[in-house]
Amino acid sequence: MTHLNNQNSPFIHFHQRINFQFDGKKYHGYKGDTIASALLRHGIKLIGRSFKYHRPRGIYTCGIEEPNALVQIISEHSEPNVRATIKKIYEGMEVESQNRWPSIEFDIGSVNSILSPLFSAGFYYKTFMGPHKSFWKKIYEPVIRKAAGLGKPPKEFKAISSHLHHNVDIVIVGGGLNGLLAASSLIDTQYDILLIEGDNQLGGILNNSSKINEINGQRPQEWAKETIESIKKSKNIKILNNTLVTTYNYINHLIAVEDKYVGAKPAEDKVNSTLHKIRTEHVILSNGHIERFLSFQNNDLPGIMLGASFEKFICRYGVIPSKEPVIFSNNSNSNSLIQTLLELHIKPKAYIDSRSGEQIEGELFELIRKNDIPLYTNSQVKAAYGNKKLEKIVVQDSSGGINEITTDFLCVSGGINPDVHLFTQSKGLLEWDDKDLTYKPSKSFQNTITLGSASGQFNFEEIENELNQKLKIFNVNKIIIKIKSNTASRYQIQKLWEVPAHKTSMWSKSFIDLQNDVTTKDIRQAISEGFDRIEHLKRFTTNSMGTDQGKISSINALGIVSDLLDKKVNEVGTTIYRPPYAPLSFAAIAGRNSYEFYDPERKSPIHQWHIKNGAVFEDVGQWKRPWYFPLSKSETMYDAVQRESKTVRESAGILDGSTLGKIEIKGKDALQFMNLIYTNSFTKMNAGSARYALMLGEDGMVKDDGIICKISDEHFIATTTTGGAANVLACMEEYAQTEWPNLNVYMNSITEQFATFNISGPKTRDIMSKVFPEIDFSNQAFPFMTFQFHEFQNTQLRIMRASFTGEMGYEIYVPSNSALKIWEQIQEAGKEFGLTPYGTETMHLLRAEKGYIIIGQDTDGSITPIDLGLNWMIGKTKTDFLGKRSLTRSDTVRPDRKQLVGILPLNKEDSLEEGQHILLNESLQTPVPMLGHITSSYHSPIMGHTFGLAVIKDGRSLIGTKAFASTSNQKTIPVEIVKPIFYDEKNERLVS
Amino acid sequence: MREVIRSNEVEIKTFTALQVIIRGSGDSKFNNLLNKKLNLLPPSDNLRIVSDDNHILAKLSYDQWNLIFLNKDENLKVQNFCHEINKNSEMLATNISDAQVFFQISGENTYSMMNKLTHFDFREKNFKTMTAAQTLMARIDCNLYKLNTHILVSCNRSFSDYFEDRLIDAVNF
Amino acid sequence: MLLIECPYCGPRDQSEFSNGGEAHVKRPDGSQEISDREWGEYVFIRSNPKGLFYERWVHSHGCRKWFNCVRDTSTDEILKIYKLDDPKPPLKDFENKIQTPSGEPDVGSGNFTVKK
Repeated sequence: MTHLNNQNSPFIHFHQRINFQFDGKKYHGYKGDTIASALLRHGIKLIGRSFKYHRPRGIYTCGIEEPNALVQIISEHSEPNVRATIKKIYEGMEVESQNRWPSIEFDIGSVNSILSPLFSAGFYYKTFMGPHKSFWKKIYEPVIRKAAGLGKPPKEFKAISSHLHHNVDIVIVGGGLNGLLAASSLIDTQYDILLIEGDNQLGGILNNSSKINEINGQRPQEWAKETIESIKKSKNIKILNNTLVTTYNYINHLIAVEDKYVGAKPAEDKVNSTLHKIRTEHVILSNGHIERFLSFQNNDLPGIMLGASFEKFICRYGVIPSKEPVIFSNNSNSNSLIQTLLELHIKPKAYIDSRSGEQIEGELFELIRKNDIPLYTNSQVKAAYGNKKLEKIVVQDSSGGINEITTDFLCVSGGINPDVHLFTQSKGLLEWDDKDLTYKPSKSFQNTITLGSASGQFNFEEIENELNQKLKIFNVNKIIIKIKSNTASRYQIQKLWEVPAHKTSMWSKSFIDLQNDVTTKDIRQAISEGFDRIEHLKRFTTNSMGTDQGKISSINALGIVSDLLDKKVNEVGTTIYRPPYAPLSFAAIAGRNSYEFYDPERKSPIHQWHIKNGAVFEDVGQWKRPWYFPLSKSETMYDAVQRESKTVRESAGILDGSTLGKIEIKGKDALQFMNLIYTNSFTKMNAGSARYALMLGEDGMVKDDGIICKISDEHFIATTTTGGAANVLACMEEYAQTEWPNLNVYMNSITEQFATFNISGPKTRDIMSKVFPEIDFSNQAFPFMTFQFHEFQNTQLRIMRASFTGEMGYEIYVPSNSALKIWEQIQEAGKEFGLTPYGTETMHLLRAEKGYIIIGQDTDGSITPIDLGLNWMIGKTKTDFLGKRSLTRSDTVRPDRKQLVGILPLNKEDSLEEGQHILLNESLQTPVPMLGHITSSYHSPIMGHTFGLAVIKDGRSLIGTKAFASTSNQKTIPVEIVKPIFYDEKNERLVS
Repeated sequence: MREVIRSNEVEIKTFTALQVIIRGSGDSKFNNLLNKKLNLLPPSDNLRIVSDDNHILAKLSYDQWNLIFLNKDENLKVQNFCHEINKNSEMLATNISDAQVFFQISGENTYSMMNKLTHFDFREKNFKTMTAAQTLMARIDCNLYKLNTHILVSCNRSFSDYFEDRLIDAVNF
Repeated sequence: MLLIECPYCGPRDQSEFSNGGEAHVKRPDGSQEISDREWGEYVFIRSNPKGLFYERWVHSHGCRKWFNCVRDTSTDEILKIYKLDDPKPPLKDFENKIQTPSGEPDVGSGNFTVKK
């Protein structure tokens, strides 16, 4: 419908056709069109159905504040709730309307409209209760879930989004008139500047309306072009367009989302959107204003649109939504709309103003009179009527008479609000302006400057003063800007929030929130029910809780509430505007930290060998550790673990223990420090010996364990658990810096410097002697729990005689770069002795047979060393160590504490499992007295049945008692409580 | 040195180097000892780097210095160095030559690429040439050394595969 | 996302730091006799004021050094950062900021939007 095109708009390329589909039908638009502007070219009015009542809805605005025109873009990943007024079309785009079935014309959901008198405010809180508890889970929730939301979520979503961090001195939010002025005054100064604009064109009000005639003697488009060119040429200013600032955090930290595919189909292998994270010294908010609507009966019909948006469609998007619009306003902002229409030789069908003739500006009056535009002053639109689109309006004129005007389009303007979302996110405070009837930024909390209409300064003639005053802190040269505008020099508005209903009925609806279908009746009802605090009112009615946060309507709600409560608007306040300013996708938030990059992955120095030899991995924190080594694809985990365990006990096995933490501690006071950190006493320990040690929290609970090697009184090496490595080092640093700074001691992490091989089993000595023929591994030369340094093939190794499996063995510390070479030599040498690599599962099994604890498995932060039966590890003569005093708290010495014991099933076929509760009595009648639970449990190939470790109240005194373990399917297994050791109690194999 | 990627005005190479963490008080005794051993006077200002043809020495905090050896086959020299330093009760020298992987990044888009992975402020006025820092990059602890012609980034070896993949991804996306 | 000035590394993003809870809490020397209650207060009890708070931070992903800080918990404003061996700045240095036990700061709590 080319008669609706405004060929004068420089932003639409009328020679470049773009074909797209809407609800299955083919349409075309032009390069630069949004979905909304392209549909308007074809006279399409119906764009969706409302959330609750499924009322027919049309395009209400021309920007991000759009409440109605949310559509679904169908592509590889179906994107819901896209604003048709923002999204630019590309060739082949498929668009669908939302929230309607089976079609937008005929929507079953509109039955909600008929039932609407039942859906009053607080509906969600009051209904869906009973008749029985189960109704919620079985009926209400599934139905509501299906009906909830507007669009449909995608089944799969793999958009590429990336992050970009910025560190700058000034961010200018909004590249309109004031943004461009601020930026141009800062060209080539010492400041690093980011100028951020949401549209793909800079210019703001210069592009969206005809308000400005001349800037410094130039036409606005010319001035803008020149200014933008010089900003682009500058050395210190970077422009980000198609970028929307969504969040203003503390301290001067902004989040902005950049759409990288405007007017083109997103490429699958390129970045769709970039999330900018910006740290800055100053923020200049020149992000403009938003027009608000008016509430009257059926103010939501398709064919009703905000006046400034109508003008923006004409100027910015080159489309005239209607050739005969009626304009309804209470303020002077609509003047330029009339100018714009008249320039295109379009006469508005009528101009309805709630103000009196004297309040309307002289120039506008002249224009209306000269062009014979029907004028209604002191008048209000009381209702709009039509079947799925506007057909006529009912106007009450100055004498109280009722007039009907047939029209297909109504432009509404209720006033303008500075866009204060970001300002309040920055924790700045607002103040109500009684003359301009809006909230304006008042007191800022951070380094925030507001300019232009964003600061509530609606007067073009004041721009020069404001800029020079507010930008003084940047020492800019005096800015000279002379603006000639055709609009009223001073913004003028008369209070009007809601027009009283024309004909009240159960179904008459005057909307205060279009997206959530909240009516002015709901507000009145909520107040009558006692919800007169604005935060309560918001949640009870869901007013301004939609994705648009009530941008065109929330101030109106405050006005209505203040009238109802007879309170000043300042006293009513506003609700908190929360980030993000507009919906932000999770893909943008995740950026590249998703899929294979979701979490950093840590690999041991011999990771490649594990892969080559078929290891199945498990995640231990960020590490990939071999879990077990199946001999073939068909060997199950159970079989592999049984085989590996048996082999270790009968021949030998080797484990990659590189992930365990290793810390080097040295200093004059190292011994004193170590004695303070661990429970053990290291004073009488010989140099060259190793000791198993525990670290407690100050609450006395076991936090970590490891083996301490003493090189000398001034030099130690400690190991930690894999998961505890960072924490133990951090804890040591904390105490060394904050508690005992007088101690001369340093600690460095050497976890990554060395790979650790744990080799154990009866054949170990043979294997080690074969690999390291020059080392004497006899019991006399190399006793249990000692360590030695050796040169080997130009590498320095440390070998410690210790084992976690209960078989005699060694831990070999190899510098990581030489690890693979030496590991392979050990593998080769071990072949004839049946050496097997084994993983973490086997390691867990073997140590459990010896009753060795695993931190975090058998302990949970509530277990003391005494609970574990490890009193012998506490240095008796030590006066102080971490957690010592806690071991004698009344809670840690009470008799019924949970203690570590072993559990054996009385019947070999019964399966013990981790988590099973131990009961003294077979009865499962509630309340069942619970003694404790099984913390570790495995099937022992040596014993031929399962066994477990458990923590049970007063466990040690219960050793020898028969008891029961309760299974997950409500049965019990007879068990015996035994000592927590199942293999080689005398440790003969260990020290052989 | 292995080339990781050269594209979009960024060049990344990777290598390993002999490296020692030195802990001590930074007093004159400390400085003299290091000067004697290395022919290089340690920086006294925090985060400063001094270098010569053979070494890069950076002060990373009031009691920690990182020493990077630029020549490869000095294993024995490094071991002896640590051994000698550790004779002093008041100092600790830990050989971490096997623990880290280095990335050398240069090219016009170096910092815009790195700012995809980290919040760090690389602007010259806040991060001068011949300065070092410790920070997070791609959520991994890293050391940064800003030298005259390029920047060095080191991380623990267990992260190096993931880190390298992230760098390549940042150059491409 | 606070910007915290590490006394050794300079201003850095909050993500590089870990909070260490209340500062200037003296650990009772383990060699003295001390009641369960007194020890329990050291281990488990910490102040939680609205307003000025003396707390500790550690630069976990940087130099790993600890330092102290005075922060107004009602607005998150960091008023002073000082090293471990610097003297504790007295409350009177921040006279205009004291808010506890109740009351709302004029601006910056984020709990209301309209100037009172």
